[in-house]
Amino acid sequence: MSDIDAAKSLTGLLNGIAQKAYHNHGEVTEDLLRTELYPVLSPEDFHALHDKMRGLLKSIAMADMDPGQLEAFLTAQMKRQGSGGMSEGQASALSRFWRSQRARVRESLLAQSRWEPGLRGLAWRVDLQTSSGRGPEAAPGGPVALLELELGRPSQDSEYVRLECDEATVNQVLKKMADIQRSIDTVVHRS
Amino acid sequence: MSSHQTKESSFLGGRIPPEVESMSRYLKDASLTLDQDTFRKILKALVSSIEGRDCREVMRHIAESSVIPEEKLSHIVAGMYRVLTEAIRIPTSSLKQEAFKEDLRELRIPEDFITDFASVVFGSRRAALEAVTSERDPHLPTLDELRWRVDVTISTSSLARALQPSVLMQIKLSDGSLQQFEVPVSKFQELRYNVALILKEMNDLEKKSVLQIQD
Repeated sequence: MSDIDAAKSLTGLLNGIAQKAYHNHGEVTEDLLRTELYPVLSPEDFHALHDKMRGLLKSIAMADMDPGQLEAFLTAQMKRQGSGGMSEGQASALSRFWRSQRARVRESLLAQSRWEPGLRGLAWRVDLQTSSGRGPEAAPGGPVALLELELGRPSQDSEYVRLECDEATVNQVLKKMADIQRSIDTVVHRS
Repeated sequence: MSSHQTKESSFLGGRIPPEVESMSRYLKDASLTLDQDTFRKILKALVSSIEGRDCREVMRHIAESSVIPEEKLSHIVAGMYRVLTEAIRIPTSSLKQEAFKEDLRELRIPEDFITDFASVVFGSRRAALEAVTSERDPHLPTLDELRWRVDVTISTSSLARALQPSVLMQIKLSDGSLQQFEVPVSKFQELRYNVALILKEMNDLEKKSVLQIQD
């Protein structure tokens, strides 16, 4: 295989590994990758290559390596003898891949550790009550906010929670949110 | 002004409800002799019922101890109930006590009974009655409580250094349900922005003159 082809195949392999491990695409099987990218390799040889790349990617992702760390890491890999070693072509393919995919992989890993349902979306409207069937409104024509929260766990359907709030409640919620923001600010360094 | 109907229609509407018509007929009927004491007992039971309490026992007792035939009594009770519920529906800013009394006088309800009606509709119990009836309006659950905390994920099984803050929220609604969910920091900014926008909308709405419409 020419250098360019080798690089392309390896990039494809890394993408496939990432799809399966980080982006929930279970249908990307080892067999599929082999037939698509390395049809010439035997299943055993491919398996070795696949596992090696997967292991390397896992280490890089786990440490969320920045460019400096990655370079040091790859240099060390290239120095290794025998089958544990790595060619320069492979190292540069890995480096290119990580440069473009780092943020996405990190995001996926963080999402994988979220077990509570997350807030996916919010829809709302403000209504004006003019009359009601049974009783008079507390404040004639008081505005009422209707909210719909979209909640869901990863790869599960959303659940919608609907509620209504009067102005006083919305005000209270906003105050709490200011408190939350202050709390976040003390945790996150703002430059 | 001619002697004909030039004032606005009664608080009971353009057409007097049939149960109110029959009630006023029976109340005027001297032969029936509905004494004020019994009337007040019925009124008290009806208020109790509107507030959500079971008053069947009380009503049965009133019926048994009254000389008025049960059928006529039931018309009276139905009419009284209608008068009360219709009056409570209308805010006191729109229906004043005098107008209410006038409307009842038009139906030739005895003055004593009118005074009793008015004391319920415009008395101290009014706020409680309004609160109960407005609870029965169709509406979505309201927010009872909102609790929160800010977490920072230090690391996970697949990420050695996560250092990711996120907000965990728990809301308790008036229908008893409890919802707990995580809000990533970016989503939180969006949430806060929207809530501020909602408040602004509500404030703007209050300033608009559409709210000043009176009947």
